[in-house]
Amino acid sequence: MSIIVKNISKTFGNFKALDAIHFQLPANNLIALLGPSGCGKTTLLRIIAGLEQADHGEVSFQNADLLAFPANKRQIGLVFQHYALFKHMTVFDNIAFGLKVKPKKYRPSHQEISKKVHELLKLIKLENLADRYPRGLSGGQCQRVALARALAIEPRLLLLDEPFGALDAKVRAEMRRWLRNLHDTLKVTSIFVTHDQEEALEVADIIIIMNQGRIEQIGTPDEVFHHPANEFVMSFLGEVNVFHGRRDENHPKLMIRPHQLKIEHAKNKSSLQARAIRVITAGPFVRVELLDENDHNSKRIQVQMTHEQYRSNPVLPNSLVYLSPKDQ
Amino acid sequence: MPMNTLASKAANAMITLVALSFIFLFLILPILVILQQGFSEGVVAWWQNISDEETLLALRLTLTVAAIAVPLNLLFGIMIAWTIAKFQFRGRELLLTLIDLPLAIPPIISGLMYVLLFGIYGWFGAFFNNYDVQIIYAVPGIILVTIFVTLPYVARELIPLLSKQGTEEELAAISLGASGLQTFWRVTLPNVKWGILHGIILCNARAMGEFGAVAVVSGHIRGETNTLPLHIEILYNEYNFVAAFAISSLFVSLATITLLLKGMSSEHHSKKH
Repeated sequence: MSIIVKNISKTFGNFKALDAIHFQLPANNLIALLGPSGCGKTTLLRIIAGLEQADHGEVSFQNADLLAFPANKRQIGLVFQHYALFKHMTVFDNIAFGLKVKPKKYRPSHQEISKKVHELLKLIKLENLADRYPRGLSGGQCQRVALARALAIEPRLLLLDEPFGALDAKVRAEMRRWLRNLHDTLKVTSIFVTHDQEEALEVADIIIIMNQGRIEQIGTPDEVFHHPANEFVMSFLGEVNVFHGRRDENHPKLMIRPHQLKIEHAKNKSSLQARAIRVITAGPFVRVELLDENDHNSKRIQVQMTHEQYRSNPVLPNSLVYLSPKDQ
Repeated sequence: MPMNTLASKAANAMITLVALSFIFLFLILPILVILQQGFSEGVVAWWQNISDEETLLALRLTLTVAAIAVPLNLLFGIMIAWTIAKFQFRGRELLLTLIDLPLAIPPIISGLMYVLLFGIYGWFGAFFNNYDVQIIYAVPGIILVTIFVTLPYVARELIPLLSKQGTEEELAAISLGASGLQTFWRVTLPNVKWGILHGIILCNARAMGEFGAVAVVSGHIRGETNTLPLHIEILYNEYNFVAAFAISSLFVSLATITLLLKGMSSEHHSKKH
């Protein structure tokens, strides 16, 4: 009971889009394919969906070889970044499309189709918009319709390509939570492509981090965030301060996240002297930007702390302070 | 500021006046002349001219030619537009240019080309002559050249529309289980239905009005290979001005209806996008 991707490779001209992608994951999870643009995540999704041919490799789901079927026989639900709703059909007809095009033998009756569409409309909470055309819907509503349309065919696998990429920040946050809840109810094995690490960390059960056509790490959000396999994963998953080993070779490069640093007013033997440049108190956390006193050309150091920590130990802009890693 | 707006108001009025007089002089006045001439001997004479047997035969031929050429070019136009808009292939640019050829070639040359191909002494003339099939100076020749000159209209209308549409909706349809044909009928075509109507109207207007190319291959046999535009020319050359203009008035009203229809389809067009 799982999805298996075996040695999938794909080249476009001289460009290696996917280089022997290999993984096996249990079904019923919400999986994120995360990576910078051009890392091959969308190509992989399109290969699984059948919209693109792999040069070689295998994809199977629940022991069925997916690549053996053309795209319209794979029974895979697809959701696009720009919704791709049928502009000339109402919301109802959009959702009913997958049922109406079934071969006569398998096609449900009108009543059954209508019942199913109304169930889905209820699920996406758009029951009163059944007769609207896509141009009369907001972006968030469009994406919900697109999802309902994909779910109508009872897909064995649901693929979402940057599903919230075209939405504004607030709607996006709502949609993320909504998708997570929906997945918890339906349990359809789903893979969504995103370049937004926050989205992946918040929504997914499992994250596959890709870079330059290869997989960098696979794990739960907790695993990849707290135990990144390499530098790329560490820096891709959130802000990170990089300290280069100073002169002596015994100090290798040190990477540390803003919330793992603490600011003190007294020097201790391992601390680094820095000058506070900016203090940002608006937001759920307080952020302090500092400059390394011994290296004014280096990038600004970011430190993050709770408001309580800040109140008990305020930092004034332009003051000299000492930085050290928190004891984990 | 007030001076400025005043000045620009005067300028605007001037420009509008010039534009309107231009339209009146070059568009409306000629049409009025046609109507005035056509009705100069009264409505009864007008009606007699219209319902003349030869005129009716010419009208029937014109409608027959359009009824064959337009559907064929509709079918061809949709196929070629779909191929060019949705696929990348070698020779695509060349094909795109070739489609425009009938618009670039003077109609009289189009007609001559067909005479050279299908005339008695043409390349295929002997072949058809063997089977006693006459193409040039007969109805088949008229239909062939009409198809040639009206070939680009539907395709040119649809190519930009289909290209702009992209392929996402079609991919969505296929992922939902639709076959290629179902996707074409249910998603691709309905999305461009106004463009298709627009193309049909333009194609039809040209098919019924074509003079040059048809004149070359027709042979002007009255009651047999005379289309309505050719018939008007004959009447005019025989100094039968009233009859020529009476039939012209028929054409003008036909053109006006066509343009009104086209205007309506364009409006739908712009509303959709």
